[in-house]
Order: sequence, then C-alpha cells, then structure tokens
Amino acid sequence: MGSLFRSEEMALCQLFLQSESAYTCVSELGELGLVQFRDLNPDVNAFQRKFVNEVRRCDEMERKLRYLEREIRKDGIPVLDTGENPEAPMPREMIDLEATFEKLENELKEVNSNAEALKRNYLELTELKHILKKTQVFFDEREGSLESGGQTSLTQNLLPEDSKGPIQLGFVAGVILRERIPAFERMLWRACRGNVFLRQAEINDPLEDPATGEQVYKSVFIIFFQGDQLKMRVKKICEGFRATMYPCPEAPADRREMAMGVKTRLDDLSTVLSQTQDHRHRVLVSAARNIRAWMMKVWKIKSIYHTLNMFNLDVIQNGLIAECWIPVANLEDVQLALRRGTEKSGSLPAILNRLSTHEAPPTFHRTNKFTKAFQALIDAYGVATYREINPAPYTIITFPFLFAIMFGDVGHGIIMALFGGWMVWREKPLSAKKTDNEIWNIFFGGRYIILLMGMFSMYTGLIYNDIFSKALNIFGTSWHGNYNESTLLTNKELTLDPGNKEQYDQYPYPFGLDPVWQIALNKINFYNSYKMKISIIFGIIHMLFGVILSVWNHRFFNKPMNIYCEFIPQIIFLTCLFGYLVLLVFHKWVWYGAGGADSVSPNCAPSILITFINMVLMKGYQPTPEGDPCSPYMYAGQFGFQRFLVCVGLICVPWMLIAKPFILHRNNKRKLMMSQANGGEGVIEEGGGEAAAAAATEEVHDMGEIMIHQGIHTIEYVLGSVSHTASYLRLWALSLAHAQLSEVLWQMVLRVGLTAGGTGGVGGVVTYFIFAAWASLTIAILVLMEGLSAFLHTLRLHWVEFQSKFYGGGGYAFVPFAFETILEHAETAVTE
Amino acid sequence: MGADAVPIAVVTGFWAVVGIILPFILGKGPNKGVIQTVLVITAVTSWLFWLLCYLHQMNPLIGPQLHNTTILAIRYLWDGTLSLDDFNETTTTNTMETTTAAAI
Repeated sequence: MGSLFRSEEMALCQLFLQSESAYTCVSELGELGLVQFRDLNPDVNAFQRKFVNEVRRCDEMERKLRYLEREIRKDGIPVLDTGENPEAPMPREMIDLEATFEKLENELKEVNSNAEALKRNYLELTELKHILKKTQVFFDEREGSLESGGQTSLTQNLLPEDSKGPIQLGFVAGVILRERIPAFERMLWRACRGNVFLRQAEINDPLEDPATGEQVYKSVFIIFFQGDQLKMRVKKICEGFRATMYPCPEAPADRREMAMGVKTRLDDLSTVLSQTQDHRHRVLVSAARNIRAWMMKVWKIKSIYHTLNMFNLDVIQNGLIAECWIPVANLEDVQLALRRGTEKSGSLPAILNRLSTHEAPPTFHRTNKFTKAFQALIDAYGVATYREINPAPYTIITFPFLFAIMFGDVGHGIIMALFGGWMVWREKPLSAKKTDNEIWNIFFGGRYIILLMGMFSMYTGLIYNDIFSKALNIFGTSWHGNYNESTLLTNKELTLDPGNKEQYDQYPYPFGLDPVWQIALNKINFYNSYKMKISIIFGIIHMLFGVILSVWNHRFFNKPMNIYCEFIPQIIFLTCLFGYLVLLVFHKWVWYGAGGADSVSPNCAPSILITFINMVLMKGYQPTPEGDPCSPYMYAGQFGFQRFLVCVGLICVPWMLIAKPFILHRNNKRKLMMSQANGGEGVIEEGGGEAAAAAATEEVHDMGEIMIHQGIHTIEYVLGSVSHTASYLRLWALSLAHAQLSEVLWQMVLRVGLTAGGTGGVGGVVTYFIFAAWASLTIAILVLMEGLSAFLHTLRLHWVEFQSKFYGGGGYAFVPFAFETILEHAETAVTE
Repeated sequence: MGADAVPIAVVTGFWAVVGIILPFILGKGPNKGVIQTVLVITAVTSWLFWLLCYLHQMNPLIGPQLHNTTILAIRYLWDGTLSLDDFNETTTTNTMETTTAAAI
C-alpha cells in the first residue's frame, strides 16, 4: 500500500555532528527537507542559546536588506526574480555579505542625506526665485502709482496725508503654505490692527517638500508695514505660521542682480541634484539585481542557526548532538546529505543513530499536488494518529460524489468544472503569482477538489436530468399523453397511468430521470421519494464502508479483541437494522408496480418508513383484512424475519458493551494469578503480598475506566447509527432545495425576459438584460452560495458520519526542516 | 417487469471497464494504489447512482400529472404525434400561445 493509505513509518534518530561540519550538514538537510529536529534545550530561553549572536547578525542583515528593498520599491525599480535558489553560503561568507550590505546601506544613507540637503537648498532657491519674480509685480505697481501721483492706490492711502515726501515703508517677503493664507491674513490684521498691508500671489507649480517628498502648493506674500515694532510683530507671526522669509533687496537693480545669481545657482544645483539621483539609481539598480538571492541566503543562514540552537553541546568531543524524526524510507537520502555536508567542510563524518522510543512519532503523509488538498480536508479535522488508516484516498471520490448528490445540475456543474479546470490548466502561472487574497488562495488550493466536484455534479445532473432546472429529452421519453381532443379540452390536469401501455412504454428512460417529470405537476412527490431513498442508501453504504475500514486499523495495531468485541457486533447491528432498510427499499422497487397482480399494485405498496418503525418498535402481527388484496407485509415470513433481525441487533448492544471489559478483566486476573504463583520464589512473603494488593487496586481502577470508556463508545455507536442515518437525509434536503431554487430563478427571472415583448424586437433587448441578471444570480447564489453550503454539508458528513466509525485523529503533523517552506513563509511575510 | 436489457448492459459494462479492468491495466507508478482506489470508487458510486435512478423508475407507482397544454406541447415537440392542422383556427392560436409558454 502506498503511503497515502497510512502515514509513513518514522524513526527517531540521534545525530552526532562535528562542530565544523554542523553548519554544512544542517544546510544540506534543509535542502533535502525530510528531517524534523527536536528542541533539546526547551528550557533555555532564546537569548542564552549558543548561536544567538549569529541569529542577531542575520536579523541585522535582514533589516538592512529590508531597507534596501523599501528604497528600491520607492524608486519603482523592478526586482529581478530569476527563480534561482542559491545554496546557503558558508559561515565565513557571512562576513562578506555583512560587509556588502553595510557598504550599500551606508552609501545609500549618505546619498539620501546629501540628496535631502540639496533638495532643501534647491527648494529655498526656487522659493526665492518665485519671491523675486512675484514681488517684482508689487514693486512695479507701487512705483507706477508713485510716478502717476494723482492716482489713489492702496499703498498711497497708507501714507499720511500731511507727510513730506514718501515715508519709508518696511516690508517682509516670504513663502507660506497656501492653505494657511486665510488664517495668516486674519492674524496679521488682528495683531497689527490693520496697520499692515499684505499682498500675496500663488505659485502655480507645486513644490516638493524635501522631508516627506510630497508635493505642496505654496504662495508668495509680501507685507508692508511701518516702524520697527510692527516689524517685530510681523516677523513673529510669520514664524508662527511656519512661513519662510527671504531677504529681498529694495533697489530694483539689486533685485535684478539677485535674480540672476539665484538663477545660476539653481542651474548648478539641478545638475548636481540629477547627478546624485543618477548615482542613487545606479546603486539601487545593482542592488535590485541581487536582492532576491541575498534575501534567500540570509533567510537560509538564519534558519540554520535557529536549528543549530536546538542542538545539545557535546563538550568532550567538541561536537553537537541532535535528535530528529526521519521517515524510514528516506534514511538513505539523509545519510547521503550528511556525507555531502561533511565533504564540504572536510571534517570527520557525522554519525546517525536510530534510537528506540516509546514516544508517538509524527504523522507524515507524502502528498502530491493532487492529493494535498484532500489531505488538508482530513487534517483540518484532526491529524491522523501515527500509522492509522487515512481516509484521504477514499475522500478523493466520496467527497465530490456526496457533494454532487446535493449539487446535481449539469449547468452549474459545467460552470464549476470549467472554473476548476481553468485553475488546473493555468496552474504554473497562477501559482507563480503570489497574492495575499485569502479567498483566491482557498479556491486555488482546492482547484482539484473544485474540478472533481464540478465533474461529478455534471454526472449527477445528467441522472437528475436537470440543467438550469430544465430537462433534456435525449433518449425519448417513456410517457405519452395519448388523450383524445375532448378529454384534453375538458380536463385541465391529467395524470398519466403507468399501467396503460398507450401512455407508458413499460420500460424506463434508459439514463437518468425521465424528462417528463421536470414538467410534471407532481414532480416533487416523485423526486422526494427518489432522493430520500438514495440518500439513505448512500448514507448507509458510506457508514458501512467506514466501519469496515476500522478492521484494517484493528489488524494493523494487532488488536484482534477489537475485531471480535467491537467490529463484528457493530457491523451486525448496522446491517440488521439499516442494511435491512436498504433491502426493503430495493424490494419495494422491484416488487410493486402497475400492471401486475392486485397484491403488488401501486395501491398496495406499503410505506417503508412505517414498516421499519413497526419493526423496531416490535409491533405485533397484523393480519390482512378479509377481502382486501393488500397485505401490510411485503413478502411471506416478513414478520418473523424482522423479529429475528431486531433481536440479533439488540443482542449486539450488550456484546459491544460488556465483552471487551469482561475479557480484559479475566486476562488480568489470570496474569495476577500467574505472578502470584511465580512470586513466591526468592521474594519475602509479605512484600510480595503488598505488591499484589497494589496491582489489584490499580486493576480495579483500570476496570472502572475501561467500563466507562466502553459504555460511552457503545452508546455513541448505537445512538450514532440512528442519528447519522437521519443525518444523511441532508443529501435529499439540499438536493431538493438546490433544484427548487434553480427552478424559481428560471421562472421568476429568465422567463420574464423570454416571454416579454411579443413578436417585436423589444423582447430581445429585454432578454439581453434579464439574461445578465439571471446569469449573475445563477453564479452568485446557485453556484457560489449553494456550492459553499453543499461543500460544508459534505465536509460534515465526512468528518462526523464517516470518520467517527474508524478515525482516531490523535496524532501530530510531521513538520520537517525545509528551506522550501521557510522561504515561502518568509516571502509571504514580506509581501504582507 | 419493466426493465430493458440494453441500457443496463451498456451502463454496467462501461462502469465495469472503469472500475474493474482499468485498475488492472494501470501502469506502474508511485501513485498506483491511489489511482486504483479512485477508479474503483468512482465506478461503484457512479454505477450505483445510475442504477438507483433506473430502479426507481422501473415500476412506477405514480404517473406524471400534466397540464393539458403541456401534454399538447409534449405531443407536438417530443412525440411528433400532433400537427397543427388537428385543431381549428381559434384553439390552435390559443393552444400555441399556452404551449410555447409551457415549453419555456
């Protein structure tokens, strides 16, 4: 049997590593990914371990790389991902790496700080330039008004009328954030009592804030005032509003000169700035080429040191001792990897010893991309106990099948299968595209489940003859409405007679349900009886299968007692009661029908449900009434046979309950007698007696526990058989609900479009939109929501109804030390 | 009883090939056991699902209850035992409208 049927055999091994070769060996094992190390110093905290320094250095390197990556991302430089997987570098290379990262980081920091200083300078100059340009306008205005004299301008009004000649006004020029202007203006007005004059002009181009790199809009302002007191006040307000003030010469010639100077300096600065940017870009581009590989290397080194921290120090031989779980089938590979590791470092070979242990080994199922998702479904309930029967290989088919019983519709099945098929087909490109969209990841992880669920839904849909709530008449219906005209005109509803050869061909539709049922008025009656029966039949088969699987567990773990005291009564109980129910269903299908004798006519067919309830309640014999062709019994001797079955079933209950504790008790007693008989030799009489008494009390205690355990187990099974059988009726309920919902959607939505508009072209237009509504509702409600609900019910049927019959699920998963998974985790952490 | 040999033989034969013959002629591989399990369970469940449906219809206890218009539509569209000339002008138009409605 393949490893999927049972988990792999594991071996606990002890590993002696020379301290020189430990690093390379662990690195090789990490590449191999088949060894789970155990922490040998669980009480030592993380800061007291041997390689804590190295781990810290790795963290530091990681931090630097993160910084680099952030800078690269900020500049929008594409990171080259060649998909190569560099080996973990040797410990001595770590220093080189550190030096490289250190150099890069420093370089980058320096460039950044330079660039920032330059930018600040640049900003100041640009602002000054704008001030000179804008204030020129104000000054021009002023001079113009002074020259024309007669004109009254705002500036002139400020001057006192009786002054002799123009009074020298002081002014301050600066730049302020545009949104602060109104408050600034109000403040000036209030503080200076209207004795200052503010002019402002907007700078049209946004300026870059050197600290944050954001684009901000600013305005130039110039304030005229008189006197030193006002000047102080104005300056204070400017500072308070974070306005930057610039010296602005008064004389036009000076201003012009200054403007020229600013312009040349700006030109110089921009060339320097662009050179700095170029340099930064060059540094980042060269870093972007290697950053993936560097990251991987650092992650690998870090994980190796983490692993080495779990090892014990062997002081005498100057080596490290590790304990690990290894699949027995891979012992050879591990040995080879260790040899490669020691060769690389050129030291003494590592020694691998198998230890014998009573500890439960981890559970390891070797899965591939197809079986992985199904194994995940099982593991979500509980990881299998070491080496017990694994339900996953059976679930591969039973899961999509039970799902499809509830989701049976060809149309919805096709949609689902196409979606699953597309994900399987585009597997590689889609899996390369890593996203943290959780819903997508769930869908993509379950792509094979979705594909199979879709395909099985198509099959069950064909059997249900249901495609978007319509039927296909492929093979020709067996029912014909051969009524004459008058009957048709006078009767609104007519029921075809299965006994009439004119109306029923006397043989059924060959594949699936007859299409006539989809348009029949009494289709619910027909479907209910059909779907209820198949739900029960498949449910009981599923449970029987689960009980039978438990035999392999009992045989494997060498517990024959469990077979005789648990499995056999369990299966007899289930078949005597519920297996018989299935037989009754088959009997009724074959035996009763139209066109035969009176006693097997449709009118005489008894209800199976009533029959079964009467059987279990042990109701007395019911004689057939005089002159009535119908008998309440379906075959001769049914009453006696049913009595017998119920009795056998009832006997199984105490069998399950008592047999095992009784046998255990007897065995214990016998053992005790044996030990007492042998204990006399060479042991002091009294001491022996004490030991025996202690053993006896322990045994009594044990017996109580065993009794309780067995009682719970039995009650769970007996009651479970009833409730689980009923639980499988959800197959019927969900299937019916799905079909009804699909029909309602067609009747209420699409039909409106199809019947709209009469013969004109309007109907087409209406249908166009109605179809869109119908299609999106079909996807959203019928495929997605109903699919999810059917999925959850299927999951429950597997976890509870099926697995409770044999599955322990008390193990823990095998988590090997593998670079592959470590890198994957680290990468998702980075993208988040 | 109302069973027909041909469909039973065809469907049973098909699933027998899938569930019994295919697992034997399967090539060797690490996943052989799983593939065999998959094939057998597929064949058993699918065949049983078809069989139960067939059995349920083999001896029908009830017949379909249909609207008279639906019966006309069936005869016209599926059986072909009805032509439009069988009815006079007025009934035909009436029935045709309801017939199309029922067919939809």
